[in-house]
Amino acid sequence: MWALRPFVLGGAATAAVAYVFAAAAGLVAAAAGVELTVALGPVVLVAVELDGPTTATTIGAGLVVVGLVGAVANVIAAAMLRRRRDRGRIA
Amino acid sequence: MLDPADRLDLPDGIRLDGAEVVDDVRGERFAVNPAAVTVLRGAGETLGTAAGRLGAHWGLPPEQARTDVLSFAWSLNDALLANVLPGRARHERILSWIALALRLLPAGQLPHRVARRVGLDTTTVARAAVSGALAVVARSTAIAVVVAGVLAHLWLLAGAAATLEPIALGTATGAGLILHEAGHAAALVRVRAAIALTGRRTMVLHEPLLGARASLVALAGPAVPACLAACLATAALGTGDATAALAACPLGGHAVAATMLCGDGRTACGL
Repeated sequence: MWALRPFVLGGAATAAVAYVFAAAAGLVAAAAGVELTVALGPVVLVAVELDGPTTATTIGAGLVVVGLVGAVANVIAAAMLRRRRDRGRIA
Repeated sequence: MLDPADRLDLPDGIRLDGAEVVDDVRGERFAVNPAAVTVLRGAGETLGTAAGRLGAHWGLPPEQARTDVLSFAWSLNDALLANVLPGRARHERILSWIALALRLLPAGQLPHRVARRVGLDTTTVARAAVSGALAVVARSTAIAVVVAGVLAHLWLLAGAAATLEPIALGTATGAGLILHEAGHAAALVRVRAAIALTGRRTMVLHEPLLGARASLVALAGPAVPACLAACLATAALGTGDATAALAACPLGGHAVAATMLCGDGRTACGL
C-alpha cells in the first residue's frame, strides 16, 4: 500500500494546479472575448463559450483525467525513488 | 562575504556546552576546538575583536587570527549554527557585494549569501504560524516587488495598459511563500523549530519527527496556499474576475511541492 499516498498526493496536487490554471485561462479568455477549448481528446478541461453579451466558462471532466495522469506519474516517480533508496541501502 | 565589523550571534536553539556546539532544534552536537570555544564565548562582539582576543590568547599573527575567525564564522553560518549580524552600513555592503560579484564574473558565479536562522515560537498554532510568517516576510516582500516589477515591464512591452494584474501576481507570489512557511510552522506546534534563509532557499528546521506527524508537517506547507488558491479560483469563476483567477496561479503552484518533485512531497511519502 506504499503507492496509495503518492497516488493521492500526486492526483490532488495535479488536479489543484490544473483547476487553478484552467480557471485563470478560461477567465482571461472570457475577459478578452475569445472562445477557448482545452481538451484531452474528447474530454474537455476548460471551455469558454461566447453567446452574444454572455460568456460561459466551464471546467470539464478533463480535470479528473489530468489528476489521474498526475497521480500515476507521481507513483512512478515514488517507485523510482524507493528503488534508488533500497539500492543505496544494499550498497 | 564577512567583514571584521560583523558580529557572530547564536540564534535561539543553539548553545555552547563545554567543547561542543549544541543544536537543540535538530538534536545535533558538534565538537569544536579550544580556539573555536574562545571565539564562541565572545559571541556578540565583532569578529575583529574576537580575532584580536584569539591572536593574543594563542600568540597568532593578527592577519592569521583574522582569517581564522572569519573562516570559522563562515563555517558556522554555512552549517546554520550561527547568524552573522552585519556591522557595516547597507550601502557599504552593497558596494562590497558588487565588487566581489565583478571579480567572480569570469567564473560565472555570484557571491555566496550569508545564511540567517530565526527561531520559531511554537507554543501555540497561532504563534507558530505568525512567527513562521514573520521570519519570511522580508524575503516575500522582495520577491513580490521583483515579480510585480518584471511582469509590469512585460505588460507594458506587450502594449497592455492594465497594472492591476502584475501587482496581483506579484503579491500572490510573495504571499505564497509566507503562507507556505506559516503552514509548516503551524503544524510544528510544541516542536522545537527554526526557519533558515540560505541564498535562494527557505528551510524549516525542526526536531526529528516520525510517521504521520512528519507527513503532516511536510504537507501543511503546500496545502495552505494551494487550498487558498482553489478557493480564490472558485470565487473568481463565480464572479468572472480574471485578475483574482490570475492571482490564484502562483498560490496554486505550491501544490507541486506535495509531489515527488519536491522535498515536501518526498517527506510526506516517507522517501
